[in-house]
Amino acid sequence: MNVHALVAAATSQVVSIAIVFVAVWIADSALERRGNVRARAFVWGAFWLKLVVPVTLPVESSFVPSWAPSAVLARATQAPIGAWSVDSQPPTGTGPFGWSLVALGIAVASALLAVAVVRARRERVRWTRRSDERVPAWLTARADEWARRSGLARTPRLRVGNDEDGAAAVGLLDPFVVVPASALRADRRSELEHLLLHEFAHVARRDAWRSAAWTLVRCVYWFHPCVHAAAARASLVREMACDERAARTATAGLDAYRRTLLELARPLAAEPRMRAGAVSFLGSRAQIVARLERLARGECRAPASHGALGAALVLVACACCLPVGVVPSRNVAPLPGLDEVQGCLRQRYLVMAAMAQSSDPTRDAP
Amino acid sequence: MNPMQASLFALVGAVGAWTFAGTRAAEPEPTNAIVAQTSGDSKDGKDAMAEMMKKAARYTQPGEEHKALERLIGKWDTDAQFCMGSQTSPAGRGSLEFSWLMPGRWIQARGAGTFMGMPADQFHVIGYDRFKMSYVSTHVTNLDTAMVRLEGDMTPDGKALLMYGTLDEYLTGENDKMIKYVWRFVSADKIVLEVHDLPIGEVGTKVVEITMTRAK
Repeated sequence: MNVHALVAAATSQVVSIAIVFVAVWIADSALERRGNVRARAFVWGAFWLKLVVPVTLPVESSFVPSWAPSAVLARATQAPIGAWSVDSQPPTGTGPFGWSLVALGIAVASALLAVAVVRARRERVRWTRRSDERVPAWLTARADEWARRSGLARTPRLRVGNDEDGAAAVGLLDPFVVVPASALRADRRSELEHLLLHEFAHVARRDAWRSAAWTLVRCVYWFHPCVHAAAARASLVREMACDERAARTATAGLDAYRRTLLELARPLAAEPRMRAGAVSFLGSRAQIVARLERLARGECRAPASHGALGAALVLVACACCLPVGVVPSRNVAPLPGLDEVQGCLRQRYLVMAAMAQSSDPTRDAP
Repeated sequence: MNPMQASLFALVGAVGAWTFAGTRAAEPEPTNAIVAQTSGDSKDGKDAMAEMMKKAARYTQPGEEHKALERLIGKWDTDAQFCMGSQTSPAGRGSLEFSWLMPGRWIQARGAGTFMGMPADQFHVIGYDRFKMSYVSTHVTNLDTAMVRLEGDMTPDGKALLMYGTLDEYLTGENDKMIKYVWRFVSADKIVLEVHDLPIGEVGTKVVEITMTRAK
């Protein structure tokens, strides 16, 4: 394993993440003005893809256009010799680092996945302990209807939790929804509908998996602020998507849903403190403000051209996100031995390559 | 003066006179043409001078062949490929800038980049020798201490410049091995330079191919 190449590739990845993040942020801001939540989700999904694709994918071809920042950086940081340099292209065809690094990457990814699963299970246990599965019969009947409206074939299990924790959809494989006890009061039935429609939307969209995926990359890139910012933004987009879905299916319509969100946000503004499981309270408050602003603009009815624009932006983001690895030529030959080549000039150049690889100190001797 | 001294002076004088006369006799007689050229006082002499001046002008002034080199002027990005038969492999990237060393006569090219993992600087001088009726070139690099000299001609269609030279191979101790450089003028913004190792045989002699793309 070449440490120098590893550092260079890691640097390339870190810098390219920052560049792509800026590009995706700009695209997201443009889509935000048009209120296209679905396209925004795609854009951040593409950025997530950028984060999980290996630094040097051992592929024979790549979709990376030559002008893409990641490709430019990859070219800039790769060793100059080309195909035969140990730094940039060993003849094994496994990328710059060989199978040992691929195996290490798989091991690290497995470990991180295990951490994410354990953390999700702990979270589930915590929510289970803090909630009660005794749910009123009337709520079960209504929940079935709301779940059907949300597009769910099966109503998730419901649990009643305390007011501090609020409502949440918990679990990856078998999710359940926690409802705060205060929402069961007769005078808050409309709020309850909005809460459950929102959480059912999370279940229908499988947002728990998306959240876990972002948690995974935040663990890997814990040192990269752009990744944390992207995760927060993606979380906001998920909430907006659920708001949109819930408001569309709510009985009283979008305005009533917005009022509910405003009412629920009031105590958060009065008690600014950290809550378990949240990125931060301030982050949550900022999210609620953004969600309210989004709902204030009304339902998104973007024309087809907007959709095309969003798709184009997603494609551009994807082009920047796909493999960053060195793309070998299809005609690349492995470094041959001196006795395998014809002509003294080829031998001369092979010797040069060998000298470059070994950094022969005698080369600069007078 | 006694007789002895007189005879000695006479002998020295005789030897001196003979030596002087011999020296004068050994010098060739100037021809009429040279006399005319140096003096220019006859019609034949003037015609000969005009002819010589015309010849000198023809062989010392740049011509159309030099204008054909103008397309090299500018900055180029280079991408070198190491070739083995039909297989190629990236060998390095760099840049090359062509400019007039002496306007209309000699072009210089200075380049930097990498080649086979080595930092490679190079310097070329290219021109056309009107008396020899051949394009001539020489170049040096920091990859070795040799100066390569090449000579050749443009193809009739003007799309390629073929130059031949020799190379001393320090690895094998062989001298004067024939090499061929082919400059292919693909378009105004693209030139391909091929380096051939001719002793390899009739085919598969291309060792290096450098694609030059005009820098924007």
